[in-house]
Amino acid sequence: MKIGDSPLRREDARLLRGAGRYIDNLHADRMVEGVFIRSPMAHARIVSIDASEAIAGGALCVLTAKDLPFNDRPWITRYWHPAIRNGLPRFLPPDRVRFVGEPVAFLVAGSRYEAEDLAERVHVVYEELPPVATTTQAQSDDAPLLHDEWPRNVAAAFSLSHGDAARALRSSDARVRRTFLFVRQCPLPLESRGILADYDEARQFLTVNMSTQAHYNVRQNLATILDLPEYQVRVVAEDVGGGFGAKSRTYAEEIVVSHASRVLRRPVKWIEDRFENLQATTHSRAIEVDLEIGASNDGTFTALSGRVTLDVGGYVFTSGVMTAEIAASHLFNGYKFANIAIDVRCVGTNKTPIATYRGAGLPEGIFPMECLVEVMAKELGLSALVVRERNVVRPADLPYSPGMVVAGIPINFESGDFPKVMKKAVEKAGYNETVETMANGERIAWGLACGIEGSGFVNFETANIRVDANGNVSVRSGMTQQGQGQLTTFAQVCADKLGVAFERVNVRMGDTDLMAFGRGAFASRGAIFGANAVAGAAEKLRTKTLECAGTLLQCDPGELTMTDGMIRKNGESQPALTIGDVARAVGPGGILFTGDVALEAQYVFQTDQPITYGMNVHIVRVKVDPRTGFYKLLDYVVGHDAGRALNPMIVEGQIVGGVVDGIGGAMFSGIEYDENGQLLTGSLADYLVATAPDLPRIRIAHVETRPQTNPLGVRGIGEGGIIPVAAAIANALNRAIDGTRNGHETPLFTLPLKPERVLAACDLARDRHF
Amino acid sequence: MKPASFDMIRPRTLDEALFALKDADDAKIIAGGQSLVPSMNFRLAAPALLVDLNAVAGLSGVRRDEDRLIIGAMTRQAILLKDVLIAEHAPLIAKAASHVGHVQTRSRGTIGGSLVHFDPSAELPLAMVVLEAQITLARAGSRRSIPAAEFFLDALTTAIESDEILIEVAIPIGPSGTRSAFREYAHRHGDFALVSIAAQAHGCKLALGIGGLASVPLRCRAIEDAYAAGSIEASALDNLIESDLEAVDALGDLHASAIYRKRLAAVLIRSALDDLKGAA
Repeated sequence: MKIGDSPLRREDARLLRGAGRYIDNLHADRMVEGVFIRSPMAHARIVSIDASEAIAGGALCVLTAKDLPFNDRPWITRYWHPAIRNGLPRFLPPDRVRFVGEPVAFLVAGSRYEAEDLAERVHVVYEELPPVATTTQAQSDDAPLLHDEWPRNVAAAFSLSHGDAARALRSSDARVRRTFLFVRQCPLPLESRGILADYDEARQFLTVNMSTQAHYNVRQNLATILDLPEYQVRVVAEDVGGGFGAKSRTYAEEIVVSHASRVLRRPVKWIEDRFENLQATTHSRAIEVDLEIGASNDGTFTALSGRVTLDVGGYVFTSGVMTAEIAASHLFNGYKFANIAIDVRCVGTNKTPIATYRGAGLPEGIFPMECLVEVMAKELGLSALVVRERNVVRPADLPYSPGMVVAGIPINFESGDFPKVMKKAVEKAGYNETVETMANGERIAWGLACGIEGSGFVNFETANIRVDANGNVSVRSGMTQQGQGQLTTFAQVCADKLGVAFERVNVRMGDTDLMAFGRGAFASRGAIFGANAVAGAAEKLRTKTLECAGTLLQCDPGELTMTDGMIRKNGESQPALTIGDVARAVGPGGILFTGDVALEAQYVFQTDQPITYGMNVHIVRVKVDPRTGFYKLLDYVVGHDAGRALNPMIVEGQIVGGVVDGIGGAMFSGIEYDENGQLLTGSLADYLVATAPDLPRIRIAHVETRPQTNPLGVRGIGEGGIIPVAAAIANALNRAIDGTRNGHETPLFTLPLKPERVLAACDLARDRHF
Repeated sequence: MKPASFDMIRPRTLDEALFALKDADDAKIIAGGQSLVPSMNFRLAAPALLVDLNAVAGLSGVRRDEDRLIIGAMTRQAILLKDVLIAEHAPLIAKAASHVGHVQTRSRGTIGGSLVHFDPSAELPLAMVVLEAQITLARAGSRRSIPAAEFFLDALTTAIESDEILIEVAIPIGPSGTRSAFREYAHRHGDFALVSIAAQAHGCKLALGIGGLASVPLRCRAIEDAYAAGSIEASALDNLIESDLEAVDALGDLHASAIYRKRLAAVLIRSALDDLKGAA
């Protein structure tokens, strides 16, 4: 099995048979369990916390802010923006709560059942403060202030610009402007958060098993906050039941549970239940965009001007601010705009803090732009497809820079053929811009949306490959995996690049003791960073192996080849050596021993251009009933460019999974709060996601161009499946309701696209006829 | 999301169960547990005692008793979909049951549990009201039977007393040629209905009911009366629908506004009446 083959995922047999090692599968001797006591109020002062009754009833400990000697220590964050005005959460709040579900105390007992009983006997007295329920209210003159550092509740404000958008808009033939709301949603991994922390005081060693995407960031935070030597902390995230961005940073709960283990000198487990997951795992999206674009009469875009407002919640999780920056800096979505001006505001409210969710700002930015392109096309009386083709970055424009910067990295398109992806998707779907009306009044139309996908982002990943005397190959990676198939694809890369059999390769990751440094799985960086690190290590090891074999065989290594671990001299069919022979010779006691502990190689992959861009084109066919607003997706096509697909089956699975996630987000999912900041969607009966009966078939049109940003020539594909979905569906509905005129579309610009909203658009279109 | 501590008994006979209920202060009956267990996990319900009916003999199954179909309270919702007597004599129940939850929940959930829990958007209570079922309740030493229309009092509230157990429902079997229809709008298949319509007709008698719209299932008396008086002119239907819907105090929530639910109901009534024309 080589790069480009599609072996079945080797992790699946184990996971499907229930042999996975998720956090709640793990048990430790003397283990106890904890529960967080969470704020029932959106905004309140904590007057007192009295745990004496719970302690008398058998609670092993109840930790509050005053029990955390480290409560003032700073977080170690991967992302920072200079505009952030602080407002990061403490590990437990000392005096004030700022969202429903904020943890105020941690109680440990013999079991979770006992802990929940005892939690009812911890008496927290709150003094309710007026809540800030919306970003509009938050910025009003008389709004309560959430943090002293946040004037008018603005946690961060910054601008992006290129050219002179105001002037270009004034001289444009046509201008269109609408407001869009990508509703607050949550990433909803199947496995909620969880941690089993075990501090061994005798060894002064903290072992933490937890469900995270970013085990090294967790280790760094645990070590600095709890004041432990970094290499005396081991964070293991072996099997992670989905992350989708929700687990790509450290949470306060993880610090507090680890501290409880140190206090109690026992292993402590905490499993987040679904109610907590919906309340207290970071939310995402919640971005409103007021967007205007200008164009000349032939459809050439002239300028883009926008205001991006993120409802950041009660505290800053810095990656939440990042989603606003990504949304703003990618609003141009692969179209050539000479003039761009965007203001960004991250506004505090008494809600759960915002962080990343699959796409991390791209769906939020692309939804407005792709919907507005259609409004502009109607305004100009042009085909929406023609308008897109006229403006999209073409191969002849490469390298193309839109003049935007994200996370300090200048955005640059260095490869790809966006028009070709569009063309192939259109051909595969049979897309056209006509509307079909059925005898019963139902209307059918196609909708299309493009979405650029920036993948990789966070530089540096590590890999180590080691070979034993029997020729078995062990790959260690600094990554984690949450089901994306890295245990299979990395083995393919290693087998291919090293020249050994796929079956002989084992891959391990998700354990900070495997490598001194790593990052984890987020931003679709597994192929770009993780696999290239494996490829680099494999090539290094292949060179080293053949050099040693040359010494053993007394020939030039250039005369040697290695396939399936068999080393042959050029032209000879019989192998002269195996890689195991070389391993035996190189290790301690071997005839070629020069101080290496084994036949191994280590590699740190880095690149000058950490973001690799690709384009996805989504095309959906909808049938809408204008009497009710109910609609059905009849067909779905994705055009994409994965670069070189390491495992095409897994690429396809990632794309289909992304589309399904996106369909749920477009049609059903919305986290809702009332005017007092109370969460209304606290269960999966109210927070809806896509289920199988709602889904159309999903077909894929592949284009392959190789990026130059990484040696394997891969692009990330974890997020392109979700990025343009909402825009494609909104565009299809918009067209089905009226394919030629504007005026009915604004209800479709707020997600989720529930039938009631669609009916409002139908009503507007109907009223216009009279 | 762990329930508070509780006791549980598993009686073998109905009398045993009834006596346990009579003596208990704070008991709940558990049948399929599809609504009770989540509410206990949320600690919205914290009964001291659960009386489990799963081992009680004689509470499940479907049988014919002259001109009535008797469905035992512990009959699983999955059975409603495939029982031949139901298919023959009360197909409306099977049509309604296909919208109840999912394969997994239907294999545990029971008809009695659904009726006693009474979510206003649940399908089976609506079907019972339209079919004019009689609901039989037992308590230690006595039994009573009440019409479905009098059983459902308000959301999550029925006429059952704390020492009673719903043991069966009796459905009048319609004459041959009886037709039925069930229509529903829900965000996703298997979700609680935003609005559902159940209808049954034979000769000039029409029973037409709406679920999910108000706190209890409603009958559309204007349409039913017009139907009894002769066929309904297409031009008159709008007015009839309006007169049946205008006074309804419709429910509005996160999932759909009251006004929207009424509009859906109007569309569904038409669809269900169309269905009846071709239905069995």
